[in-house]
Amino acid sequence: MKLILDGLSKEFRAKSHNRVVLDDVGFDIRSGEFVCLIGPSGCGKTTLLNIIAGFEKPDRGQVLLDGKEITGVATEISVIFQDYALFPWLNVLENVEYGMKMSGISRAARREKALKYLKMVHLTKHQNAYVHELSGGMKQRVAIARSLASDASVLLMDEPFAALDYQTRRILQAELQNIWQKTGKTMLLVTHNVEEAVLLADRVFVMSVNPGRIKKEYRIDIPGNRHFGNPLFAEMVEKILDELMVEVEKAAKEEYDSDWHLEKNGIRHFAAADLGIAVPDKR
Amino acid sequence: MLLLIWELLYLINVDYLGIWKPYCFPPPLAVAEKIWQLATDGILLIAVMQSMKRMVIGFGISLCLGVVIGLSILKAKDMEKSLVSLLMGLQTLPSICWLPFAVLWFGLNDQAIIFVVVIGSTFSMALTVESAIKNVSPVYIKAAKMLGAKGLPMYISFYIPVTLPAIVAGMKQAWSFSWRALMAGEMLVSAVGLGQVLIMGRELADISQVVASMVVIVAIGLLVNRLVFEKIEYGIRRKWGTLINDGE
Repeated sequence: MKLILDGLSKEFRAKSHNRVVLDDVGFDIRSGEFVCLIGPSGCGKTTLLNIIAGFEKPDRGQVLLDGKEITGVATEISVIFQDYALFPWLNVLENVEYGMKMSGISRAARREKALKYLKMVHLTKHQNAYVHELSGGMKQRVAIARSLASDASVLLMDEPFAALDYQTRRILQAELQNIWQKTGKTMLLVTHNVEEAVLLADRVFVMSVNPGRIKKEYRIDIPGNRHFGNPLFAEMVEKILDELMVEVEKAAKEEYDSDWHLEKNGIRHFAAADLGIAVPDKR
Repeated sequence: MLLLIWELLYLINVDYLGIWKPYCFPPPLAVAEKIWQLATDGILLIAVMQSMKRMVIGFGISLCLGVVIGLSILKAKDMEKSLVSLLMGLQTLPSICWLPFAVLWFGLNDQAIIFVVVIGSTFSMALTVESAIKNVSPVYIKAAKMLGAKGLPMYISFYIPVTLPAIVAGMKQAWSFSWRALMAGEMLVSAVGLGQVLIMGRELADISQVVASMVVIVAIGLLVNRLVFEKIEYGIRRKWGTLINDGE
């Protein structure tokens, strides 16, 4: 389904000053498109996802799904959280079935469909395990299966792999791509990882910080495989990273002492090249 | 160990020094004999059964009431703060203070005692429910909502299980409040029950019967905790993965 964000604005009012978290954010996502949203921490990425998911209301603007305005939480839109949000009192299978249970699907149909999606994420072996028995990567697989099984047509992902180690993340990125191709869902993934964004997306949006705006749009249509061996891929990552670094620095200047600046000529490398990729989200 | 200290205290203070009179402080053996005697007479069994019956009824009612009150407070958003402090205030009032009311309303009978039992734990249960729901992690609520949970099914399939650990902890406390209220009620109303066995001991100047019923009261409190609440808690911890030593 086609997702339209139209002029979304949101302010947080604090005692001393108001902070504009989102300022006139608007873009369309085609049905079945994979879009990544990238920006420094504090640029309102998570707020934007919360608004699309219906958890928060925007001050101005609207979210349209196939022309219909989303005013609250809608089951067509499902979220995959960084910290999984699986229910600890249910086992893996019951977690995946939960959404279907809520929409009143019969037990047998529920089970069959849950197993189908568990198979897609390769976890049928652990269907009776409880959540605490799973590793981080396995938990995120269950969460993906849960969202797919609830028949949402749009998947919103909020830094889904940020808490995972590098290797696990690589595997899951590849599998997410597979799942996307198999199911044709519309995907919006929020990340701070430029490589991940370029690897997965059709389009990447870079957000600016304070106020949170869409700063630049990149269409990722590089020919060939998407890995660092491909110079076009590396170039694209570098280009987006440069754009992002301006914002990261801007955000950092607000957080740190006034004399803070990036040492531009490090001994071995340009320090900034690491930041967009490896710095974990501060929360 | 405790029994040894007890016996030693008895020997020193009553037998040798004679500071305490034997009718003030029974030796452990006399208490054990008394328990045995009460048990073989059948008095103990009847008393325990009667007490448990009141307890189960009273505690059941207070659980339901507590949940209803707790949820209503959450619904009445504007008045939540003042309602919570009202409940806190009522909770500090020992439930036996309600006995005069109970006797006036229900008479000197079982219902009055059950009323006191209910009052004893309802407020604490309501506060537990209220804070348990307020402490649910927002990300779980988001997940449940996005999966389409709302209304009554959301309460049954989400709020009850997600708050269960906190609720069971609250139930443990509420149970001990109720148990105390029950004993006080039975002693004052003097209906057949453990509290009455204790007060009979006092009236007969039989200190070992008093201590015997005290021991039984504590023992039942412990037993219920072991057999009911700890079992439930263990089950929850095993699922949630919060057991520290589960031998894995």
